[in-house]
Amino acid sequence: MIRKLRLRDFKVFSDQEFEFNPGTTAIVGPNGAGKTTILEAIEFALFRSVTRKEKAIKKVEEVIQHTRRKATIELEFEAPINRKIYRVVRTIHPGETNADLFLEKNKEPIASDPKRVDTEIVKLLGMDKNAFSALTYVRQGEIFKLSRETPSKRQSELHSMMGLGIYDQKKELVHKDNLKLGKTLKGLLAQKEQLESIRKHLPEKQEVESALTVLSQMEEELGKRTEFGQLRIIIQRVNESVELVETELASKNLVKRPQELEGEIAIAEHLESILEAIPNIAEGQLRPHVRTEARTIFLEIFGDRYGDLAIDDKYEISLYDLQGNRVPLKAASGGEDVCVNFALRVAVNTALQKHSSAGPPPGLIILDEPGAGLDKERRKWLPEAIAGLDVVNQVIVVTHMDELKGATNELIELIPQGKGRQPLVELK
Amino acid sequence: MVRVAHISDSHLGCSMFQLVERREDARKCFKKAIEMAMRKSPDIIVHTGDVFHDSLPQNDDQNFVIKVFEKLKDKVDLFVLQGNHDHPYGFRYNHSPLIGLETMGLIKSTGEKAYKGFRKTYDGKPVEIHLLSWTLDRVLNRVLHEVQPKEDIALFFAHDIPRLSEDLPVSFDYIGCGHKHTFRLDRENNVGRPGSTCYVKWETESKGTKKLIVVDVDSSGCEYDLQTLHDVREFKFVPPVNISKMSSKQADNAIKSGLDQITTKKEKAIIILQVNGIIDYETERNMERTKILQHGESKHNPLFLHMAANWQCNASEKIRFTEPLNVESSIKEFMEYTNDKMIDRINEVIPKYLGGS
Repeated sequence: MIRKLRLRDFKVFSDQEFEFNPGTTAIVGPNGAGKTTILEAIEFALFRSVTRKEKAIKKVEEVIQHTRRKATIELEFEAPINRKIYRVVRTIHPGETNADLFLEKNKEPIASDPKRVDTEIVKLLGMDKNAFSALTYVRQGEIFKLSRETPSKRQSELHSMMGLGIYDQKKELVHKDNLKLGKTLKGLLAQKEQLESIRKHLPEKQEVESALTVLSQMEEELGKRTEFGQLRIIIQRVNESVELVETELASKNLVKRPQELEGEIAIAEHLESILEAIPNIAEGQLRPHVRTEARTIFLEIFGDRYGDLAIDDKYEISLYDLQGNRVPLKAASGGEDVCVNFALRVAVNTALQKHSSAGPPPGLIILDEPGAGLDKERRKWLPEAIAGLDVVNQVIVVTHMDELKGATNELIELIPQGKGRQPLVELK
Repeated sequence: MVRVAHISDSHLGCSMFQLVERREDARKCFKKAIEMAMRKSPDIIVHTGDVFHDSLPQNDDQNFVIKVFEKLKDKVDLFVLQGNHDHPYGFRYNHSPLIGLETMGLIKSTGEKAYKGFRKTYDGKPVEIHLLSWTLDRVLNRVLHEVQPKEDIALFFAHDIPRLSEDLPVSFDYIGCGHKHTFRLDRENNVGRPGSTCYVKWETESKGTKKLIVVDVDSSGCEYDLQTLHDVREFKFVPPVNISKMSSKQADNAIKSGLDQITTKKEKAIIILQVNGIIDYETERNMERTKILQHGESKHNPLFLHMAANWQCNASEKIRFTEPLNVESSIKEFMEYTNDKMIDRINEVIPKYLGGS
């Protein structure tokens, strides 16, 4: 799906072009060589944001190379929806970014404003950033988590790996808004209560009116006196207060608004409950596919020793040997345990690609340091597993492991040339 | 006229299910294929790669190949390609065991490079033979377009040609490949693939056949003589059993009765049983897989009985989201499914919460 990436003044890269072909590509280099930068650039080119450790980076101008005024990313990609080649060019200036989207070699962009380019790309990919990253990206350190967790933790890990965390985010959003509505409502009700308690201490309107009538009668009978005038002023003031309290209490803000707010809160609460319910169902819908995919990947490597890999509704993972015996994961040897994890983690992506989008899937998987934390013995099978990932047509592996160099069709080797300098790039 | 016997993918050293017997079987199948080819008295035998299953073959396999090839010396021209299994990852051709065979003069191959061309006279006519070992797709492209045959008869062999036959250059009289383990022959375009000499992966090979392709190539066209290669071991594929919606007991019985219905012709066959369907997790947990396998083993006394668990487990939920990661569409589908009374009002507020994520 990704064809070509060109970076200018983007972090350590002053001017560098990378070509990506279908099949497997390894980006190999020691830590700090700029491997992750390539992934970030791809993400930025597509979605105008850079995520690191699940958090979006706020200040994008950080990516501009020191002493330079702008950074440019050019990415050529094949749109899954129509298999046409598009080219997106984004320039990053401090405080603003520009974007152009071109169809193949055309000189005239089909969209030019960053926001419009964003929307166009979402349309071309058939999915938003969240879905795209869930479908294509296997983060560093995620692979070896699954088997070591408790089943409930495993479930929540799977949720987030499947990209279903988006529902929690949205729920949180609705919830926050709902809290605000609740606060407003509470404020209005408190105001109403206060007015009502004031009203209790004030005379009724009729009482005031009759007091005024009595005063007038007294004036008629006793003649005009200044005291009466003072009394009248006081009574009229009381009257004004009574009227004010009455109109306030009868006002739209205190009569209708609370009702409206209650209605809005009920809707928001309902929406929250829907957002709460969906991930479990979606996960239940996807889990069988994940299992099927994981089984295929695992048996591709260990099929001469095992017959089945199962994950049940209680999130227990088990293997079955060729004699049909259930082998608890704990009893399997290290390499197999790790391969189960790899298979499950990658299966989440391939299952999502096959079963979670209405349109054609991106067909791309990015593995970020798939062998991190493994000793040589435990990652022996890894090159073979990566070479065998033919469920998608493009696999990009980012790694510092030298033994993966030979495991892929293509190799991009980054050789660091010192801090802040563009690494030497060798393509094979 | 030149007579070519084309075989491929012997995978010596592969042992399905780690059965030692299969390593011996692979050798026998390989030898059998060579002998069948020789009975047709060909001018050339071409093996389109993956003679070995691993780039570091065990000595017994390597010695076996040397002995078999030694016997062919001076009787036939033997061309062997390097397949993806014949050398380590990264196209390191010089690490292949075939280099040794080449050095000994037993075979002609591509040496330490991907491509090599030969020219030799057969039956008074010069013949070009172009060999391309396992390589990158773009190298295949380049070789296919750059090689321009000068002679009347030109043959092209590559380990893998992932192209449609009609997209291949017409300048070659016969194009042969391997890599995939099942037989294919396009007589119109003269593109042939014999398949492997033995079963390597039953999953992808169960539906196809394996053949020895003997082709008489002349400038006027090709004439084919095909012979099926049977694995020396009997592979019995049980008709797939579907256990959808069954309880564990029912499933066990259904699978056992599926096993009861077959008969094997040879001693010590390999029986493959595929079980499909959608069941619940309860059923899966309680199925007695070992007992099923023991039942089949006592009945048929196979070399190996394999049950392929292809079933799926499903939770009972009936909603199916078309795009589970699309929040908006999933909410709508959820409300439609649950017949939500607030559907209109929720739809009103959705843009407020979900718009512009």
